Amino acid sequence: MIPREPSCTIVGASAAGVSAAIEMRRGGFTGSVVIVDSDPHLPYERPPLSKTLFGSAGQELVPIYPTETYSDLGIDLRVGQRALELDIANRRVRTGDGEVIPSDIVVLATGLAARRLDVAGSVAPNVLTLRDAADAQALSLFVKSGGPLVIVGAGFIGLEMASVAREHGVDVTVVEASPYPLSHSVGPVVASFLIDLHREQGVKFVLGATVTELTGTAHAAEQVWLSDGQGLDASAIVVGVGAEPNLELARNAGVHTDPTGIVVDHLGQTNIPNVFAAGDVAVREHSDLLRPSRIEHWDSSVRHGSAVGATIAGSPTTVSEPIYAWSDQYGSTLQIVGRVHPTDQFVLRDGANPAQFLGYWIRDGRIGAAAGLGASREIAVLKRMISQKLPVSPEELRDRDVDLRRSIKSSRSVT
Amino acid sequence: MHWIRACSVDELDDGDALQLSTVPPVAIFKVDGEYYALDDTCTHGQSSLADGYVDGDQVECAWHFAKFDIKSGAVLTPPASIPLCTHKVRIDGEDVMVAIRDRAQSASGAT
Repeated sequence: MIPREPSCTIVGASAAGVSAAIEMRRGGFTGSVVIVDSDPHLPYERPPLSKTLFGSAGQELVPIYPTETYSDLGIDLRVGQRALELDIANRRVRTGDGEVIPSDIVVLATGLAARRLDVAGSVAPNVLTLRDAADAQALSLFVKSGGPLVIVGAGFIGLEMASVAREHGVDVTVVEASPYPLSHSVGPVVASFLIDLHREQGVKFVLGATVTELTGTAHAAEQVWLSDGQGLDASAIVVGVGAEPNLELARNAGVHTDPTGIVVDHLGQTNIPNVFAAGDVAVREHSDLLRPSRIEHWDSSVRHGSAVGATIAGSPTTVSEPIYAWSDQYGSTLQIVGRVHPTDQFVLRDGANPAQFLGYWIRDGRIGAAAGLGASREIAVLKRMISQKLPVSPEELRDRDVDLRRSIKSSRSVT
Repeated sequence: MHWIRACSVDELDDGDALQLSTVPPVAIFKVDGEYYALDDTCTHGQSSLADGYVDGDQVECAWHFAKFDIKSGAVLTPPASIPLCTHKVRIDGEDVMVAIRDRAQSASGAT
């Protein structure tokens, strides 16, 4: 008897899900490949959603690949269909349309959902979060209709939305519970540069405060009340206070999860054979991390999806590149490579200012992480210095006359 | 098409790059002693490839890490999918000259 070709279903037409499908085909996987997602659009890039404003028709969405790529590679794209059940015993996925998709192999790229404010008044239609195209379209409408805009949370999404809104002349106040923005990603020095950058563009900050209540009419929140007692007028409120994993499908199927995501091994495999998880829903080990965690960045999702795809196609692959994130603010690009640990020694390159800076986090005589604005030339080198664990001298890193590119190339020729 | 002077022949070391402030900008790379000219702006994002990381005859975009073949402009690694436009280079005595394509009529540039 000739064995049937294995079927693979990917849940989530995300950066991770699409990358997995493409890499499976590239690696010679010849079985069926189906991508299921409730979002009706051709799979699109999410990073631009917080970096520009969108019309209501979705025509500005940036496709990850053109339609032909999927048909050319024999990838069956089922967008607008929600995966309702993962039936492990019978190896199939059931969708909201009542369809049953044979699924010998499953990749869960179910992603995250925006965390919402848990305060009175927060269900009004002008209290918005941002994860997908529909969110971006709704948010764009409010920003275009003018301010004042109150942004809750000074993370990547909050700061990028502040930048976009200011570029459209909208009054913006950012409320952040921590004493400084991007508190999980950069230290206080880099954060203070970012605050200055935004203040120069007219953004107001309320730091160390939380939202206690939203008041207004039944149709709209109009005031944001803070823990320090002050009230802010708002025509719209953007909530960027983190995200929660979409775990229902996995949990109902008995896939091992913890409160932060789907637990996978170094190859993206869950506790159930031939069930993988990829992208930001996966809780995984990484050399930059102190403990297994989610990694919520585009580059990591693409790499993880690709690695899982390669593994399924028969080449077991683990992601080894440093974690990388970027954020566009007022025409400049903030880049962060590696992960900052609490015990790292911070070194700032000489000549830093809010419009251009480069900082490093030194760990055991090597670079553990780096962050820069307008320093992409150096970041490309630092990514390699991090992954190669090159020994570094803080004095050289501080000196802006030292060409990092030359130092990495000379150390390579020595070893 | 018109020729412009990019730099002098000994201005760049192997693996170095230089951005020319043409519209759109063009990048000059030196690989194994030879000069190559390509459009400077990554076809995926808006990053300058002269700021990218050169390894042999490949350049990696500094923002999202797409890789291109410096000699042909071909895409080697996503997220880019459109190749880079290449430009002719000639050595004129001590000068590296680049033939800049005239793209006034084709706004897309992807000709």
